[in-house]
Amino acid sequence: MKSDCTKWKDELLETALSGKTSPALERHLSSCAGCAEEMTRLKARRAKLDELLPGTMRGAGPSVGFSDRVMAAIEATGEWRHNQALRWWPLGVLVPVAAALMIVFAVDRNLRSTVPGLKDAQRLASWRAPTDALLESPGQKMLQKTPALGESYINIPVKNGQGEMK
Amino acid sequence: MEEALASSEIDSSEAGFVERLKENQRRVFQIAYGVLGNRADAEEVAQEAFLQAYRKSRSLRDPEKFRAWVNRISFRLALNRQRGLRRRLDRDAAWQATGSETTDGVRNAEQRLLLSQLYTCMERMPEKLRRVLQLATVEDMDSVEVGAVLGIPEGTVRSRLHAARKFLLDAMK
Repeated sequence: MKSDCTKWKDELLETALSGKTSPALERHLSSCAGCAEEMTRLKARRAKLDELLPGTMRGAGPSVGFSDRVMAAIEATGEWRHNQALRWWPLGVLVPVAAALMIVFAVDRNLRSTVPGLKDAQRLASWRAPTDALLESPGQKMLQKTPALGESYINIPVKNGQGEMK
Repeated sequence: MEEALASSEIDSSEAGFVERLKENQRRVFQIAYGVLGNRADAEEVAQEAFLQAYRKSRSLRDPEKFRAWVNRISFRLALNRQRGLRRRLDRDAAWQATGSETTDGVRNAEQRLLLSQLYTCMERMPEKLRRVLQLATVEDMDSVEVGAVLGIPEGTVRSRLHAARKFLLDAMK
């Protein structure tokens, strides 16, 4: 490449990468052996790069047992169990509550069936005398208000000495 | 297969996480390796990336984002480690990886020399071009994913990749 060919440098690189040669560069290459040679070198270098770049990663991977080591590290921090515990926390609450309810229910049933006379005692406790119904009468309303001085809860007419009703 | 897993609902069970770990481990390792150039460091970073992914996986609502998410974690951790180490890249492991695929000793030596030259040129490259090139060489990563890791549009990835290749073409004489 001649010193006055430096203006073609960028276009040579672009052409080597894209593979598309502009008419102007084509004309220059046909008349400049140095640039034509540089073009050939760049194309060869580009092919080498295409081979090398993927090669930097080819075969690169974690060593055998990597996933096991990651899981062991997670378990070592205790976070796995913590997360598992978080996941199952509703069961941790619901199971004891359900168990307690079942125990209470069973004990209650057991008491009902084993204590002699319990049912009779319960029936007796809820028994009300038939006369209780009589108390639910206008008398209850009267008892709710306090009579004034000289008055009575019940105003019963009585005969005075002259035989008049008072 | 990866897409099939991503489209299914994220599984927080041990088996589900192990499956995602196995599907993504190679790429996550390569992302770290591209930045650090050292297998031991890259493996530590990949492990830490999966630990972080595990810790935060409960907060990940969209399962399709797991792949992009763990990629970003690995890249960020690798950059942090690289800044912390402040040492020249040790690419011996990469040479071994490439060399192991060739049986011809002369070709092997030539490859090593070229790789050495390539890494030297990459170190001289502007950082934003180098990052794109490193991620673009990771197997199974397209320009959309590279853009997602770096937080730049796909078009920018393509133009930077072109600029990076042009830089190498000019620098590797």
